[in-house]
Amino acid sequence: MHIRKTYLRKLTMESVSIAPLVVFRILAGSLMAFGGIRFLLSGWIQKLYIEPDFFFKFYGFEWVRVPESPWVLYGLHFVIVISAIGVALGWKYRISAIAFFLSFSYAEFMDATNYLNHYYLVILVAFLMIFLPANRNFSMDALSNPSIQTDTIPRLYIDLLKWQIGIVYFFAGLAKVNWDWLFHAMPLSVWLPARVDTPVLGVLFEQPWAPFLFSWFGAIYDLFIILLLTNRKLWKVGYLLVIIFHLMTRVLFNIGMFPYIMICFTTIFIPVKYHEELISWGRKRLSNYNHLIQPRRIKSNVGKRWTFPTSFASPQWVLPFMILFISIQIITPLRHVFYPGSVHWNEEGYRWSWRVMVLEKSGTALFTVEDPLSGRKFEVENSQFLTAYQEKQMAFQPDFILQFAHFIKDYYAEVLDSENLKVSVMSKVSVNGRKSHLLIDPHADLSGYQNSWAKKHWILSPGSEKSLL
Amino acid sequence: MKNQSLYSCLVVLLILAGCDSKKGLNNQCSVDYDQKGLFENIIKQQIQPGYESLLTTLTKFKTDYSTFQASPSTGLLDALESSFTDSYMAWKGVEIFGFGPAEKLDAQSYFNFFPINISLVEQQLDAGFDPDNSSLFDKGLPVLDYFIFNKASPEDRIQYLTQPKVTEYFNQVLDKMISVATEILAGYRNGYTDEFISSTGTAAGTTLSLLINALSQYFENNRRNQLGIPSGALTLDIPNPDKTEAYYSSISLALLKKGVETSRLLYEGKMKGGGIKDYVTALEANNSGEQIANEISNAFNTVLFAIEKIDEPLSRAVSGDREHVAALYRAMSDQVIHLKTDLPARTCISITYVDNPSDTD
Repeated sequence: MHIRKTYLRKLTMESVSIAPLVVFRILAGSLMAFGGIRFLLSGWIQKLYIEPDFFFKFYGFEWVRVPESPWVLYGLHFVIVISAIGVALGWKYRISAIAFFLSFSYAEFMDATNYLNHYYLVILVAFLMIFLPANRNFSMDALSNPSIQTDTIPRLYIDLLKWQIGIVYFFAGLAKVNWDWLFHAMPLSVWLPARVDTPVLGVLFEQPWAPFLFSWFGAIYDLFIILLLTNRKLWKVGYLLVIIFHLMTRVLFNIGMFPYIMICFTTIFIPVKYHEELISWGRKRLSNYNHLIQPRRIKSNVGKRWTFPTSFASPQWVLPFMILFISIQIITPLRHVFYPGSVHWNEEGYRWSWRVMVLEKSGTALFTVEDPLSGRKFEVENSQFLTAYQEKQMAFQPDFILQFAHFIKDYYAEVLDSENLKVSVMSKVSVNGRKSHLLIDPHADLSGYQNSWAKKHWILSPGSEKSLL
Repeated sequence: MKNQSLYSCLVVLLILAGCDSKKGLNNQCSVDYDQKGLFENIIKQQIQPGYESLLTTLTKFKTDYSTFQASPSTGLLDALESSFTDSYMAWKGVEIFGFGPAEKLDAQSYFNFFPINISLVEQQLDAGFDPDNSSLFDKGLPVLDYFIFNKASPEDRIQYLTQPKVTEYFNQVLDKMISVATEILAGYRNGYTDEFISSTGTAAGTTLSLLINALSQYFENNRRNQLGIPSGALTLDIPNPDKTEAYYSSISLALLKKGVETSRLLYEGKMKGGGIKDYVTALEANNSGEQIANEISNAFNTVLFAIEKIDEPLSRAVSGDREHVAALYRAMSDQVIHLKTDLPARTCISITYVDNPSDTD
């Protein structure tokens, strides 16, 4: 009780250097801008949003539409890039941060097929950054309006990011504490041998024990890295491990920006003096080009009671918000306990939970439409509506299967000019190399069910199908 | 410090909670198995003889066609018709091996794209075509099926086949197939065999991955093209008899059966150590979970059994015997699930013909 009280008091009262937050702003903004440019140039907009005719949605976000016009689509991603640059520069920071959060989130919500945990993290961090005073030093805003300039901020603003990142690691680690991961080294047993052509390390990946080594290392890393990073003596070891671990994941998997995002976000844990040195180095470099940027001495009211400069949101107001935000972050990954059955199988409570790369799943879903009016019964050719990747992702995600069932019901209701079509699915899913089982009751008329937070009773538990066939 | 020990204890407890008392460490993707031996057997017992037989039947087909052209008669027409069937069946014995030289030469497009566009073929007959530009005209066995069999009576067939424009088109198509088959065999002789045998492991592009992807994709395509579309199972329950494979010669069901048999052979092998199943069985010897090796064998038998219930021509059965056709479609669907989901999962290889377009996590 005592510890907690002191910590909460410290969050609002203690002044800490703004430098880590400034560095975070610059790194995160630049990385997001880079990510956005990469996305624009990769051809993915064409492939993921212009070519498909159908898009899966997140529950509650069905209203998010993919713009018809390629101009709007490219424009949206252009906004992402520009606003990310704005964040990095601290230029019209609040507007940039809001624009980035909205445009990036919208882009990620257009097709749930492309859900990635690390982009969810970007969305959360972007949301937090709207409220963080990250532009109050070494920024365009502070340059044009020196009155906002400050060297110190309440500890709260730094710790909020630390909590966010800590939560990600902890739950990613917790997700790995399961029988398959630790004792079958699944799915790394599948993924490692597929990378034997990696230079030098390839020889290692071939060894039958290698997946076990990597599984255990991965689980221990995720669970304990936050302890190392927050330890005054061991943070260097921790950050070195961050770099090694994430570069290793870069070598092994096709995970795009993820390693760089984590390497960059975790800089928030590096002690203040390195950030301050980096910023004064940056000032010196810039002062060669711009006489307006004067090297500033960081005032040392660190550790003293926090005093407000001008126009600051009161930390007393921000604290309850922070507690609420973090609580939601902690409850969300645990919500699966309210759904009977394995979250790895039914995926109820799977998303937004930092279950990063813990499963190798695949499946086949064959939909049948029955028209009671004409007596017709036929299978749907999924590829007529879905890309191969959408079909693959749908096959093991029940809410996607349900969305698609509704879509084809509406589609064929029009084609056949008939109401009351029945849509059922033969869907078999294999988890971590196991024999496949029916995921969904093949007799259920999916067009009669709506998505909700309630338990989906049309999802079968693995192996329970015997009685049904 | 206090917080940190508390955290550590919590984490250790959670790990213990995640454990239970099942069997010990076990890498279910790794097995001490002679992959090279398996691949060598598949080349020697299936791929090589398959292409050799294709080339032999095509060459005979060509001879029969020349003989027929020299002095058209109903007797020689019969011979031509039967060597057409032999060639088509021989193609069905290798169509599944669409990787390596066959992929490089785009063999599928020169041998078998169906259904063909009849009006386009007729138009090309009149306007002429560029035999080297593969994308511009219909070709392969389906075109020859049309040329030989589109008229009903032998007299009309002879008359149709001896038109100079048909002869030219016919020869172009046939010669191209012969040259592609020859080149594929040369490809295997000049290096590809070694490459195929030595590419072990489970990564994408290795031989095991090629074979399992080939088997899965081939079976899935056959289910769709040979049965799903003609029967109406995939087209609003409206049969399309004219979209059966080899519609004019009415050997559709025989071809379908041959495709299933070829798939089964790749899985079962001609002898022990000659098919993918041998590898699956070896993997499953270490695996305590539910096994799939025999289940796939049984599913092949179920499909073949369902084929026996249907009478050729398939183009008639799709509307006349819907019950048995539907049963066959169901049996093939079950096997698609086995081959596309269970087999790759058990062998720890990924289905590469459905690839990720962007990042994953």
